[in-house]
Amino acid sequence: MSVSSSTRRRKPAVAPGKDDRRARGVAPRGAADPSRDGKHAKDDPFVTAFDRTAEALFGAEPEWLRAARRAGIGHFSELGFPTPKHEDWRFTNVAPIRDAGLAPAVSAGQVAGAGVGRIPGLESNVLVFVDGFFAPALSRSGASEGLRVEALSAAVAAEGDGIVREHLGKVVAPGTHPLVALNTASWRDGALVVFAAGQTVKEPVHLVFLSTGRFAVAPRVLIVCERGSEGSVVESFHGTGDTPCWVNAVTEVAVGDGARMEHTKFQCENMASFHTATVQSRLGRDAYFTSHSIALGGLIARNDINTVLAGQNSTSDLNGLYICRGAQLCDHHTIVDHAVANCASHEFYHGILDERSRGVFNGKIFVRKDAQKTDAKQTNRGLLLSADARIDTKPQLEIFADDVKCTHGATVGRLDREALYYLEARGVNPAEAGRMLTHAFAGEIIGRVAFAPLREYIDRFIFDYLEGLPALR
Amino acid sequence: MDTLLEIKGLRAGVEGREILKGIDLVIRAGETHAIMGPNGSGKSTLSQVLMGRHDYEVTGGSVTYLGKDLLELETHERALEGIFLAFQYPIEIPGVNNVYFLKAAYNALRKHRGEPEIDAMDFLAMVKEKARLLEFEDDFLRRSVNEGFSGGEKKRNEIFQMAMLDPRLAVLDETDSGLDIDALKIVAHGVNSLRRKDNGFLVITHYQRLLNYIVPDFVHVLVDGRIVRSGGKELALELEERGYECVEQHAAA
Ligand SMILES: Nc1ncnc2c1ncn2[C@@H]1O[C@H](COP(=O)(O)OP(=O)(O)O)[C@@H](O)[C@H]1O
Ligand SMILES: [Mg+2]
Repeated sequence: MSVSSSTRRRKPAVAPGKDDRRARGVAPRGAADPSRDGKHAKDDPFVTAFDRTAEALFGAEPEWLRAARRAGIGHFSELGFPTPKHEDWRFTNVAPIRDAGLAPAVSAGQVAGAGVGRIPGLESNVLVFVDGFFAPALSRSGASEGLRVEALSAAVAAEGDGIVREHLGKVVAPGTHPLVALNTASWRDGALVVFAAGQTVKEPVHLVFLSTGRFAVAPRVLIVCERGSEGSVVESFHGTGDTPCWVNAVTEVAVGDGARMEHTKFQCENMASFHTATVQSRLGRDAYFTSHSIALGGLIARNDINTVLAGQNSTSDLNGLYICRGAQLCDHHTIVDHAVANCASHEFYHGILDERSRGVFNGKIFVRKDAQKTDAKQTNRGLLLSADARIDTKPQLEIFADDVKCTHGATVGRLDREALYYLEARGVNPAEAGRMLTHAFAGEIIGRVAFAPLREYIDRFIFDYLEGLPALR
Repeated sequence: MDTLLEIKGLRAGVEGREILKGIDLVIRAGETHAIMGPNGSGKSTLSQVLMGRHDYEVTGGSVTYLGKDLLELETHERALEGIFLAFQYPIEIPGVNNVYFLKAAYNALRKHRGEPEIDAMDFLAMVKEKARLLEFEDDFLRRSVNEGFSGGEKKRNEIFQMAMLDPRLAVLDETDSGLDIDALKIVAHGVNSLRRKDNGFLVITHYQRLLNYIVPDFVHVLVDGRIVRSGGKELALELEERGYECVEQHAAA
């Protein structure tokens, strides 16, 4: 199966799709949405839990933040917990997350050793969070010129109004995504990373989120790349035990004029857990942003990777690699919003699916009326290692400008028999031959990671990970 | 003398269509056999059946290799037992590095023989030595398997791999086609340097030219899935002069 098309549009046109709400922007949904299961928001356990604990947990915070939390819970209760009746959640049933009834973590669990999730070569600035709580004893921060890294709660407490207030909740739109809204209401901690104007910081900042138990955790990260800065942030999510947890993360990345930013997300939850995350970036002029979403562990995972090109001559590159086995489901939804002219975006997503796992890729590209000379490219490839694995993929191009170049291509296939035979003819056994070819397929995404020690770590990790797939053993 | 390979009454085809219609051939250690024949006569099919490609169904006969039933073995097991096929059309495998792949193949052989993995430095030294034999530049080795190689480079890479893996029985399927005379000499030199008393070669070619450089002990003519004539190296010259038609008529008579 292969779908590919290339368009250079002269007239405003819209790709086929049944979304008739496009004129109103990004997936708007109202309180009157009839697809809400008929459940009344007031009975919603998340809303009730918020109402019960908000004063105790957040009472000491500045008023602007408390207002943002109230608005967040309001949006959540309007939008409702996602169900497959929502167009954006059609392939991904998150009812098991809701039904798991995981309560918010109230304290950090025990972690054996300081090394979990650490990446060689990323040593200077490592912030570790256990069940959503900052763990200073496991963290380190070295002084780097032009870099500020601290726990978000500490940043709020220290400065009250300032950079956090300026950007938090401004890059994402909590009103458009129920789980972003829920995170906005209920986050306990996370990180603030600021790259100061004109500064280049080579070594990535590493944020490590460890989950130890049966909790719901909502980490919040704010990354601000000031004008002309250059930096890299890695977020790793690891489950340390085998009990289910739910991580509902939100990361906002404000990329200023002329700034360059690399963001890597390494999803490695345990196989009983749920992971929902949004990485939302917004670019100024002449800016560059690249995202790598490496999604491995987690029973149900949903990653929303969204970028808004808000200043001219900017580029966003969104890359993804997901590997699923067993009953895993991994969903990537991307939205690339070309708001202004002369910007480029490139998306490369590769999925590897074994056993009865499922992959979902949904890539929306908006090209607004003024976004002439947009160059948008989306490529999504799936590799099925078993007859029971499945991938659902859907490109959505919504183009309102008339002089743009948008291409998208989606392919789903199996290991190349010719190539397997060639390797086997040299004495390589079929499982190893399969691993070589699968690793090569993954390598096309891994190779896009710029920082060499990080790239090598991911490559090694993936290589070992592939050895665990039943089809390649 | 040891018998390396004994093919008896081999019949094989694809989807009910018979391509090999009863082949008999014995290769003993130390011998080089050439198979010549017109296009479509089944030369590649024979080589692929020997390597165990699943597209072909064996419908009759037997193949014995070093006393074992070869047809029972999977492709990689045949390779581990010392059979090598230089492909007529080597494929490109993007993303799999040449040297990495070769090392995996080499270590698979060592493991099969109960030997430990080769030391990385020793392996590289060996790669360099064999690359020199085939007049390969280091650059080729850093690239993916055959990716971006010219036709001639791909063929040379096959022989390079053969030199690295040092097989007991090598089948060369039209390794000469697409090579200019200099490349042909390099390849022939590579092959000749590997000829020993204990191994054997089956050289498949459409033209006699290669056999000036790799001089065979026996020449067989394959027409429409059957060996219609066998002889010494002179047979190749006769075919060159008189064309395949004469043997075809000869066979029909
Ligand atoms: N995989 C295949 N599927 C269908 N037909 C095949 C296949 N391989 C070979 N053939 C057919 O068998 C005959 C012999 O092919 P081949 O062995 O490649 O001949 P040669 O190498 O002598 O040129 C040809 O008619 C060819 O079309
Ligand atoms: Mg052929």
